[in-house]
Amino acid sequence: MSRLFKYSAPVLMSILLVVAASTVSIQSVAAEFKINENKQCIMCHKRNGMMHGVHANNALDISCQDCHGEKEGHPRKASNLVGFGDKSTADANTQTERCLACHDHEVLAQDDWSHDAHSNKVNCASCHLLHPNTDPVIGVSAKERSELCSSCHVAK
Amino acid sequence: MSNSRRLFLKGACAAVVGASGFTIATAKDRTAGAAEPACKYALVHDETKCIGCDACSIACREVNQVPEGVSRLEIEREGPFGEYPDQYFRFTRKSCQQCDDTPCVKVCPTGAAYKDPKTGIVSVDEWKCVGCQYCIAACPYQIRFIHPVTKAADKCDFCKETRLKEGKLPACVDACPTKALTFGDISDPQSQVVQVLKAAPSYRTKTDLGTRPKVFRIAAKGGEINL
Repeated sequence: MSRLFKYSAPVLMSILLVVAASTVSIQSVAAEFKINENKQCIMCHKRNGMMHGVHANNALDISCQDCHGEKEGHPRKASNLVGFGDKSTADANTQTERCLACHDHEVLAQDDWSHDAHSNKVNCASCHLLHPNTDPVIGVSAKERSELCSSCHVAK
Repeated sequence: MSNSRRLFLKGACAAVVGASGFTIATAKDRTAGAAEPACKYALVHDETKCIGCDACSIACREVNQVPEGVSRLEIEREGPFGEYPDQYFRFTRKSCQQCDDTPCVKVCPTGAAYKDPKTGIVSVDEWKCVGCQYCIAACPYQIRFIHPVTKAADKCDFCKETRLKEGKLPACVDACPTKALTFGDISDPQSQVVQVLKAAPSYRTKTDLGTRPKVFRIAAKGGEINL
C-alpha cells in the first residue's frame, strides 16, 4: 500500500501540475490578447465571451463589435447585436454576411466545396467555432466530416 | 414389297424428327434454366437526394476492408453550377455497374471473374485470379483495380461476401443518411427498387455498349437538395 502510494503520488502530482500549468497558461495568454481587454463586453461576458482562437490575435486587431455589432441598448434595450449559431435570433444570411465581410467566398470555395453549396443558407457557426483555442472543424477526419453532413441532411 | 419399304422410311423419318425435336426441346429447357438467375439484384442511385457526404464510400471501405489508394466506390463531384450564392453540385456514383452482359467475365482466362447464377452479381474469385488485368482493360466503366493486399482484381460486389451473407443490405445503402440508394431484386415487381424505378425516370451510363448495367440513376436536378 505504502509502496503504491510512493509511486502514484508523484505521478498524480505531476499530472496535476501539467494540467494546472496548461490552464493557467491558456488563461494568461487569453488575457494578454487585446480583444479580451474590451471592458464594454468582457465586464459581463467574462465566462462566455473570452476569445482564445486565431481571430483573437492582436495582429488582426479585431474587436468584439467587428463581428457582433455595436452594443446600442444591450442588455436593457433594443440592439442589433448578432449572435452566432443556431440559437441566434439572426438568420443565416445575416450571420454569414459578418464573416464574408473579410472572407472572400471564392477563397473559401477553394478550401472546401461545401462552402459554395451552403453559401448564405447555413450559418458558419454550424461547423466553425471561433472562441475556443482551436476551431473543431479544422483537421476533422473524413468520417467525422461525413457525420457532420448527416447531422442536418437526414431523410425523414 | 414396296409398301414395306415405304412403311420403313416413314417410320424412320418419324423417329428422327421425334428424337431431334426432343433433344432440341430439352436443350432449350436446360439453357433457359442456366441463363435465368433466381433473382437479379440492382441498385438505384437517386442523384436528386445525394448530398456528396461520402458516407457510402467510407462505409464501403470499412466493411470490405478496402485499403487506402484504391476504392470500390467513389462519389464524383461536378460543379459548382450557377452563380453565388445559389450554387449547386452534382454527384455521380462510380462503382461496378453490375452488367448483365459482362465484358470482364468474357475476357477472364481463368474464370476468376464470374456472374453469380443465384443473384446475378458480378464477382471475383480472388484465389483464381492471376492478376493479368484483362478485366481492368475490358471494363467500360473503369472501376476494376488490383487489390494491393490480395494482388487479385477487385471491385464492388454489392457486399455479397460481407453484408449480404449476413442478410443485411450493402454497406453503402445502409450508410446513406438521405436514403438516396435503393437496393433489391428487379425481377420481383413488388420490390422497393422496382417501385422507385417506376416512380421516376432513370438512366444508366454507356447503355449503347449493350452491357445492360444494373445500376440505375435518377438524374440530378439543379438547385438546392430537398429531402
